Amino acid sequence: MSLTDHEDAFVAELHRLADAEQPPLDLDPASTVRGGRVRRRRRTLRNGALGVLATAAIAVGVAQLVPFEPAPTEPALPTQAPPDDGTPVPHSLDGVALPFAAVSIDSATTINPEELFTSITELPDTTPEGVPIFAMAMTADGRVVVSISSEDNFDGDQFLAPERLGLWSPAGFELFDDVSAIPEGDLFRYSYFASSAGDAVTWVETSSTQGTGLWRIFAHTPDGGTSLVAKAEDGHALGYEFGGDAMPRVLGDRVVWASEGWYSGASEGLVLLSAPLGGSGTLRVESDTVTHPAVGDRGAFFVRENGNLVSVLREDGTIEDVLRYPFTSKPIISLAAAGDTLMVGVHVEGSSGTKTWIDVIDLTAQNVTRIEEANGLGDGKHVCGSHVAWHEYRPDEGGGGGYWSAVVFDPATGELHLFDTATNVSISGCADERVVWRRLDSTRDEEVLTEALATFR
Amino acid sequence: MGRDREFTAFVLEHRATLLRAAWLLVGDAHRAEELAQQALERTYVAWPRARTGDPVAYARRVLVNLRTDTWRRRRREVLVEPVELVEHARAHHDPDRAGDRDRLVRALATLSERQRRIVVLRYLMDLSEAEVAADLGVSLGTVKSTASRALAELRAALGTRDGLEGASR
Repeated sequence: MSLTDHEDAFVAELHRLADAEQPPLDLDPASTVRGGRVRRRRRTLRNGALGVLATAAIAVGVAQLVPFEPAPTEPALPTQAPPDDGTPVPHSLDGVALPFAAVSIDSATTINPEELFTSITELPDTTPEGVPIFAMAMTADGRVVVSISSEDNFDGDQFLAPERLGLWSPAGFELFDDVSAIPEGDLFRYSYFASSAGDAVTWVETSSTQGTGLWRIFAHTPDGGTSLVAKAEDGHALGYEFGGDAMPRVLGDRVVWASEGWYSGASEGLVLLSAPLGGSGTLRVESDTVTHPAVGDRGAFFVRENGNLVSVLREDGTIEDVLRYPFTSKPIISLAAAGDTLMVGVHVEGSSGTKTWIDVIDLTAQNVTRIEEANGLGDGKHVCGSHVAWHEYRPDEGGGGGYWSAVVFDPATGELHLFDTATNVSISGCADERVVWRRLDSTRDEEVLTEALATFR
Repeated sequence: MGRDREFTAFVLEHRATLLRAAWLLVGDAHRAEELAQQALERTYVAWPRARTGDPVAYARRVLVNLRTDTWRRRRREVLVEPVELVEHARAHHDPDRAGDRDRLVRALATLSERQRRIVVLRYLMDLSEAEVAADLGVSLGTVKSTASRALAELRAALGTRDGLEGASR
């Protein structure tokens, strides 16, 4: 029996199971017509409100800079022997394990955000015209990168209006150029990720509601212009077909990101790509990778060789290896970086079960602090000046299903804190010692309760 | 009301297919009926556009995408990353508790949202890879690689190398 026959037989059995298991299902056509009429009336009313935003004048805001705190050079926790549970400690390139200290996630103290931050400024829910804003990232000078989008823009099949990106500060909004007609012929898109370095912002848009493929990467350049950095189809000229959830970062005068890539039809996994920030230049395939990149002072960190080698792509295009992780089974890794701090989230399934942790690596001092049992999955990790932040799932003591809380660790003091909000908290971005977060209700259909900009004490 | 008559005829003809797709996507009869209802309401609103092309494909796309509507609202959060959903589903998967009922639904629940959509459209609704790519707005390569991985995971979730030990007996 060929492989195709084998697959066909399996699919036939799936059909048989579906037929056997499907419960009785019914739907009244008249009720769909009634519901459809109501939706139609609502949409007619909404269209007026969205038109107002398109012509609104937006003020430019400038926020005050906060002094940068250098990364710690001494570990706050006592150095320990490497763990004996099979979880690898990062090694220097010459094979020496980095000095290692560990703290358990269970030791986190619950803290009110007001105790952790000197100032907390709530973001407005909407623009002055009443259109919802979403915090996505922060610029170095403390402005918040926001997207401005009505939830009603989506009819279940496609997006009905363009989404705009811009900057918010307490002084007001600055909208970036409308890029919805670039490239020509695209359906309306939405943005799902943004990041910033210096005065430059980069973000990714897609018309796919699956959050994958057909990405378009844009940049707001320091001169105030907006450029199309790259689009998925640009890979065709190089023999690639790109998919996946690109998450672009600014690296000097280029933008760097990872994408699923198929070269001449063969699966290649993730590849690291870069293109000029200004949008006029060639897309470059830099390396294979197993992670999205994270940009620090040395360049764009990424991981390759099945998770065993941490490397950095420098601004000049050269690649330097940084550290080795002697994994014995293939891990899932996520990165965050700033300055000379690298945050490595690890989730690995081995013979002794699933292990998950976060390593905070001081590349200057060449030491590592591990938060054991921390959530190593996912890309919601941030290096915020001298702190690192991520998300942990907290079970609800009342049995109500739990919530995701923000966790902040200070490697200089060893202090590990958990937000005392009993709601979902999502950190959207940070720059130096500032953080922007979103607090949501704890149902699975989260509604935004507040978004706030805060500065660490 | 020409629109209403035409739309009602459309619903009568295709509701069974759409309800089945909804059930495979959500794994629950009540939620499936709710999802199909919402998808068809939205299709009604867009009927002038939908009817000019392939209205079944349009309604199916709405149905599949409505599953992502909540995700879209939360898309900038880190709360619903597919890999975490997979882990969550696996962590809560208790084969003994459910016995031998709903094997397919339980196996589908161990896939990520993306994998599940692709498996349902490609293998259980019998769309071509190109149709799945068009429905989901993803590349053909994404459909191929995801479908292949998802099918392998489905085999594993169903319990044996072939995935269907005893199912056909």
